[in-house]
Amino acid sequence: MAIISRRGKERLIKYLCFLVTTVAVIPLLWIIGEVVVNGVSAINLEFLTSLPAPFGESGGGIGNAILGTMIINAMACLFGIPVGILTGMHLSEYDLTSRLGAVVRTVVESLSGVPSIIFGIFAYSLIVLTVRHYTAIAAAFALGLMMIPLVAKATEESMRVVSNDIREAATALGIPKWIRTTKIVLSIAKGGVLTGCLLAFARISGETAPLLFTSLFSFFWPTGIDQPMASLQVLIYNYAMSGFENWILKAWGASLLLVIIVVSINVLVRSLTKPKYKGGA
Amino acid sequence: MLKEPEYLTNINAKIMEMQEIVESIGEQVQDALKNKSSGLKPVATELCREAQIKEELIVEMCVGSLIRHQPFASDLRAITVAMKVSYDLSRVCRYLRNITEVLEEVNIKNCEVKEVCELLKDAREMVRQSLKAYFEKDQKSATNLIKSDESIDEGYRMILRKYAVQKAGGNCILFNGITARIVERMADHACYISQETIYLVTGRRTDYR
Amino acid sequence: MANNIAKLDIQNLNALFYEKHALKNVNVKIPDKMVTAVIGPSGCGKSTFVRCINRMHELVPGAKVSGKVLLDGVDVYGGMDVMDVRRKIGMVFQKPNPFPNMSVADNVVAGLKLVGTHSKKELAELAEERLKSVGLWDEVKDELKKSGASLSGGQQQRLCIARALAMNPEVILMDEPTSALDPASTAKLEELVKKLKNEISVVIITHNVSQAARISDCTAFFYLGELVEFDETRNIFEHPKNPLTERYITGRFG
Repeated sequence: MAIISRRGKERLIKYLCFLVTTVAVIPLLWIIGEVVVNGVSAINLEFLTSLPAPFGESGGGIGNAILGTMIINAMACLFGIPVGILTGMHLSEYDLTSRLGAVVRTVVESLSGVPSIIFGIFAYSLIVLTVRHYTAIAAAFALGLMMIPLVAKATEESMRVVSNDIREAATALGIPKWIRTTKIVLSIAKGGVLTGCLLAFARISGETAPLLFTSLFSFFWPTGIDQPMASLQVLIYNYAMSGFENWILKAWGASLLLVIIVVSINVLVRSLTKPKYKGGA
Repeated sequence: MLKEPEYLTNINAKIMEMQEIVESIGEQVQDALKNKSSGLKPVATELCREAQIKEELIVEMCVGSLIRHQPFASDLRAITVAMKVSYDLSRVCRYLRNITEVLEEVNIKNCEVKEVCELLKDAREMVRQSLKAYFEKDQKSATNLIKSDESIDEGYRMILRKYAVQKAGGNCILFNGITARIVERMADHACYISQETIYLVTGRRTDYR
Repeated sequence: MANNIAKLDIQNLNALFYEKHALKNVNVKIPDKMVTAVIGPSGCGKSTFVRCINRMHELVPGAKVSGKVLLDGVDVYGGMDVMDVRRKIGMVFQKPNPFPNMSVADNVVAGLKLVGTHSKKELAELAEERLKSVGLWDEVKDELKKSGASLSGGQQQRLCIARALAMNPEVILMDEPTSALDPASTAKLEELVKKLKNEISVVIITHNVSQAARISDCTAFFYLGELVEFDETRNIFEHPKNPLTERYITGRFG
């Protein structure tokens, strides 16, 4: 009787874990499922390449939003990634024990938890109010700022992991510190840095709040980076609440696109980090 | 100096056994000389063979210690010196046996052997003292012993001078000449043991010629 | 030994590590084009001593150095740029540390390629020359593009030596270079060291007293931060002057 009960307990726990995991995964699958089901019908060539049709009209597309998202994200990367890498490099190689280093590190870590809307407001008051109009640059600035903590943390940690023996070897050869840091340590750490950048990119691809204050929206092709610009996130926000059938459908389509982007990046990151990074010739 | 490692203690124990054999032969030869008797050769040969076996064993033990322990400094010197000392002792044995061979062939019933007896006694004492200095690692003693070789040499030369001018008693001239020579060589080996003892303690070799 | 000029003249070298007095007033002349072994029990200061020579000790937080280290008469602590010091005095470490993100060939010339202006052709020739001089060429000539870290332990260590030699140093310091290697690789490395002394001066730390006896011309014995004895290896191992030295090399302590 006792033996059966013990085996029974094991099986019970095993099934319980399985059940709980399923429960946790179901909402995620449900969301993705809904998005796919509702959005797939919206995807066609016109959808991807043309401008929105006038209110109430059918047809049209979200081409401008796609382009706008690409432009804003690219600019954000141009700003966030270099700053993030440099910060991470500094924290790892130059400031291990100083007080300033500890402060910077704390700030960087806290920033990664700050709600995105704060970045939006910050960029709004700094740039939008100064130039007195909505501009994509402010959006890129806000998103770039959000990227910095993630990239910096990933860079710092990947560089920290590089064995000190390597640094000693470089020093003993008379290689100056900055060359050692960039051409050797950073080069060895590039896998981790890349991962950090990809994850940061995935993060900002999903943020809407900062864009509401900065790049706002536009129904036209992007005319200049100092102008308001369409983006997938804001489009979804606008269209979903509009009440127009056509637009709601387009919002689903845009959501599907976003989900595809974010999921593919995460899958890419997983496949890159699976084999142990060896550093090729 | 450092505490002696076990392998060295074992090697020195064997050297002590060799010394006992040398003492045994030496005493018997001394008596034979005093009593002018012969017939000692077979016994001496047998004892000498024993000593030879012990010498070979000592060399084997030394080589084994070199391989196993790879000694340095004083340990290393101790091994090389032990090998040389065992060789010197085997030579001393050999010389004592030579004396019994001469006793066998030459009739000395009517000969004067007092000087040669004295010389042998002194030489045996030298061997004894040199080994004592070796076991005790006594550098001073060893140095003095090397100096005292002079007196043995002097004794040897005296015997030569005496018998060089004698006209009669060819057997006595022969006996005294050869035996004195053998004893002088014995004393030389005691000297070599002392030189090795000094090297063992200081690590330096001096030219004694 | 008196006939050989001193390559390194070390005067009143003191090294501190926070409060700990790691090296106490070390005075020694390291001869040119010879192998000098540095021996002593753990924590005696031999690593600190060697790292003071190429100014690596000062990189440790809390480290202080005083005294002079004259390389051919010029003080490395005053008269030379620190990068120059490290180019002229190379170092090889206990655990082989080739750069894993570079190929074998690139590893050899890393010190030049990353800093200097040599042409690709020059670098390739230099890499081949140095790999030959450490006896690695035949083993790796078909695998030059593979990562430096893909070689075996013994090969990696020889690669590190080639890398240090590519800088054309005048002295090479080795910190227990065979500790992490198997006996066959150790033997190969010892052969290499004996060959090297025709070109440059070698200072090698070893905790293996027999190794010091095998490959060095002079030996320095350190204990508790002091240089206890320095002499020709033959003398140290046949009749050391200091009883401490004798006790150490006969294995009575340490």
